[in-house]
Amino acid sequence: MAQAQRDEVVVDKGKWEWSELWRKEDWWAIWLGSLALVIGLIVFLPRPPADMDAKLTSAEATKVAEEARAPFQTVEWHQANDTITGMQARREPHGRTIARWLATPERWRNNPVRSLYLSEEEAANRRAEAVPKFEAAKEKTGAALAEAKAAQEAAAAANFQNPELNSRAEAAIEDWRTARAAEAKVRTPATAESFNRIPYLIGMMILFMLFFAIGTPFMGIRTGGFIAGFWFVFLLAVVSEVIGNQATLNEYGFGSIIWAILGGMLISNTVGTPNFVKPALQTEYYIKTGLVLLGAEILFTQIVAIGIPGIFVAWVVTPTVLTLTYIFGQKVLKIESKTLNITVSADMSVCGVSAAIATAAACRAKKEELTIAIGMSMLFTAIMMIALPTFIVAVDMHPVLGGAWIGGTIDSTGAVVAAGAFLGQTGMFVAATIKMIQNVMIGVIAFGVAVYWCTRVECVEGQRVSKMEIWYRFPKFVLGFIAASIIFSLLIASMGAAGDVMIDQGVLRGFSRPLREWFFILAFASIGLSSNFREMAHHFKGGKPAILYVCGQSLNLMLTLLMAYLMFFLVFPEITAGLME
Amino acid sequence: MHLHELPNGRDGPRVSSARGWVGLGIGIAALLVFTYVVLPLAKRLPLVAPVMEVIEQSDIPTSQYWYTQSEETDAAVSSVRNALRRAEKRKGKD
Repeated sequence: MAQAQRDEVVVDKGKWEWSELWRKEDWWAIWLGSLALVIGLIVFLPRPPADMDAKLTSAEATKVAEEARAPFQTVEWHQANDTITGMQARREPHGRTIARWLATPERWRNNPVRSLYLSEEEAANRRAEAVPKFEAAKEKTGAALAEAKAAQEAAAAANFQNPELNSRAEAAIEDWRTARAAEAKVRTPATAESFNRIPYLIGMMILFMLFFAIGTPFMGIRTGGFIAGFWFVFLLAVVSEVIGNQATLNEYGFGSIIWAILGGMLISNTVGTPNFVKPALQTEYYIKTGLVLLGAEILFTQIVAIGIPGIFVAWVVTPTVLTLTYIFGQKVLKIESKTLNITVSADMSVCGVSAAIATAAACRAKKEELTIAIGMSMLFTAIMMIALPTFIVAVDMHPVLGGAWIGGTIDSTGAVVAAGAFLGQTGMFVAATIKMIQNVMIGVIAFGVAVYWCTRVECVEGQRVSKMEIWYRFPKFVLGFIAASIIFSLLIASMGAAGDVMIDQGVLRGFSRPLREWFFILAFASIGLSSNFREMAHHFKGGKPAILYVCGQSLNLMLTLLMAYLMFFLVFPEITAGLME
Repeated sequence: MHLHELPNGRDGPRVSSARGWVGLGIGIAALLVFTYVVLPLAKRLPLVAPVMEVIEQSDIPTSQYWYTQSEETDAAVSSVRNALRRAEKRKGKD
């Protein structure tokens, strides 16, 4: 009987055609993303900073020698460490040129023009205002360094056997580091230069337009129409970047992505999206290309950054919360759309916006569902960024525990850093590191969701899906996303310290990351311009997505706190002690 | 995502030109009120003020959504790695 019923169901069987390689946007996302990454490698790899290998070897040798000499991190150790961390391929002349072209608008408070243009006279005024502060800070750093050296010499004279002299030296070195960090903060305004972003933005618009236009004739998109409408999408992206860089909005975490969506929706629901723009609203094309670039930033070498406790907090709790929240959404809340359920669940449990983008693309969620997930993430992140650190400080929670709790539960990196900073330096360091490990998880989540959707969701109940069928249905851009992650993880691991300088601080942060940020903002501007409020309201029916988010986040808060306590205080207390030194 | 229908699909509710422009104006005005009235006022709330003060002083860009965008995360990871390496070496010596 069951067999007979199954036979009556029309099953959409996919089939593979080689022409997909040039007809489908999934493949174009892979080709274009790979092209961008290869260009990045060609630009950065042959141009390392001068004497990079020698400097890195010497600095590493100094660190090892100083660690053997003294029971604390000496002045020389810090200077060697600064040499290593300060060596970044993106700071080289070619990296600076690329940064100038790909830069987004600057931060501003009252005058939006300041985000795009700063005259020489205004730059001079800024410098004049900041230079005395900078000079004072420089002097303070110099004095603190002299004191640190004197205290260290006194400790060294006692062969580092006098605990009192050792702690005095350690405290003096700490003061020097604090003074140095304060100096770095006032250096930027003291060296302010005039700028005019507009010609660069026009140049980038033309380059991006040509870059994406390559694939349009093969995918059946009118190339002329795409080119004619692209400037409008890019303009909305720039305006969103300007709004998102307004100081107050930025302090609350309301960045450019939400303004691209809201701005686009405001236009499409009031005066209407002009017809000539529509061929350029290629959300999937932009977002999938951006996701392939994001894949390169998912470095699996990073997951051991804080040892086993970090893996448990970020890699055990997160998938548990994701799975339980999804089941809760299906069984208890009975959310109609599975794609909305998984997108909100991933966005809440993993890392907000980026997880929502990757998951939504992997399960082919609707644009309104992605918008709802991102909107809720931004709202709840702003609330949690204030409430969670306030609570942690009020109950006098240990900074390592508080930091791990913040890192595992607040959605976006920036908000995690801000909330962690309220707990002090250690809390912020732990919070940011846990968040980074959790970020890396989205590679696994996106792949898992894509496979689950192909095998379990997009098929008739009880139907067995063959391996070839899975291949037909699988969102192919995920292959590019995973391949980029594996290739860049292996590349960075094989290059040792030079990998950080050339790949992480060169190709990725200096080239593919700013490109990816632009592609995502183009995607969200497209989403906004093609959405309408009524459709959104339909998906938000009964407030179920918000209930799902709140319930899932409550579970996340409980499980993360429990796991962080178990790992950092019961199982690995020596790691906590090490972090507190 | 299901977005192929977009270029030829719906483009928002049909509204008259004047009503549309008024709606756009109201939206922009709402953004200005939110930015220059609501959020600055919220900053003064006793629960919100201390955290916002830290954010303002540290100049942390809170809207970053990915770790490679954050210079602070870079410094944090380096510091955590060094702290753990030091603790490990000390444990080895003991």
